[in-house]
Amino acid sequence: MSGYVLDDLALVAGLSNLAGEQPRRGMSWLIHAAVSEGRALDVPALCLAEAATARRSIAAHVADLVASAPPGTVAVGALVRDADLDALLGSNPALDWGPTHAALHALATGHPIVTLRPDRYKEVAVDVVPL
Amino acid sequence: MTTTTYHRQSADTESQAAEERARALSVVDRICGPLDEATHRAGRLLEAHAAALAWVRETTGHYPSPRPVADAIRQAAASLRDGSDERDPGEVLSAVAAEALAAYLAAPS
Repeated sequence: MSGYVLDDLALVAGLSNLAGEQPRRGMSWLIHAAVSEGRALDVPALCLAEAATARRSIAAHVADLVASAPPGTVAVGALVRDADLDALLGSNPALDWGPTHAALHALATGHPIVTLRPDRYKEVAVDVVPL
Repeated sequence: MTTTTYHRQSADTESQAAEERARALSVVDRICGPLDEATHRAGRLLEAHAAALAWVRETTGHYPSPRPVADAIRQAAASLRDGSDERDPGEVLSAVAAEALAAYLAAPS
C-alpha cells in the first residue's frame, strides 16, 4: 500500500492556515485519499508532539482521523530503539527529534516524508515530498 | 447459515461500511473542508511527486532515490506548483524521473 510519513512541519502547515493555502490543500488531499482510497498516513508520535506544541488542536484532529478513517490507515507511530535509530543518531546528531522520528519511519516503510522544508533532510538518506 | 441469512448479514455489513465511510468523510470535511479544484491540483502534484520517487525506487531496487534524480524531480515539481503550467504532473514528473535516472546511471561513478 502506498503512503506517506507526515512530519511536524507538514502537520502544522497542513492543519492550520499558518503557512498559506498550498500546504493546507495538499494535506486536505492526503487526508481525503487516506479515507477514501486507503493511502497510509503515518504520523510519528514525536512529530505529533511537536506539532501540538505549535497548535494544540492538531492532536485532536489527528486523533479524530485515527478513530474514523479505515482501521490502520491513519496511524500514530511509536519511537522504538533499534539499529536504525542508533545509526540515525550516530550519523545525524544535530537533527531534532521530530525529523529524526520521521526519518526512522520513512526508512522502515519506504514511504516518502511529506514536509514543508525538504532541506532539513538534506543530510539524511530518505525520500522527501514538499507539501 | 441459510442463503437468506447470509445475504441479510452481507447487506448489513455493507450498510455499516457505508455509514462508517460517510462518518469518516464528514470528519475529514470538518477538519479540512471539502475538496475543490485547487485542492485536487495540489493533490495530483503531491501524488505525482511520490509516484516518480516510487518508480525510481522500484527501478533501482534501492531506497532512497539517488540524490541527483530526487533533485531533478523536486525542481520539476516546483515549477508546476504555481499553476501556470497546466501540464499533467504525472506525465511531466515520470518523464523527468526517467530522464534523470538514465543520466545518473550513464554518468561515470
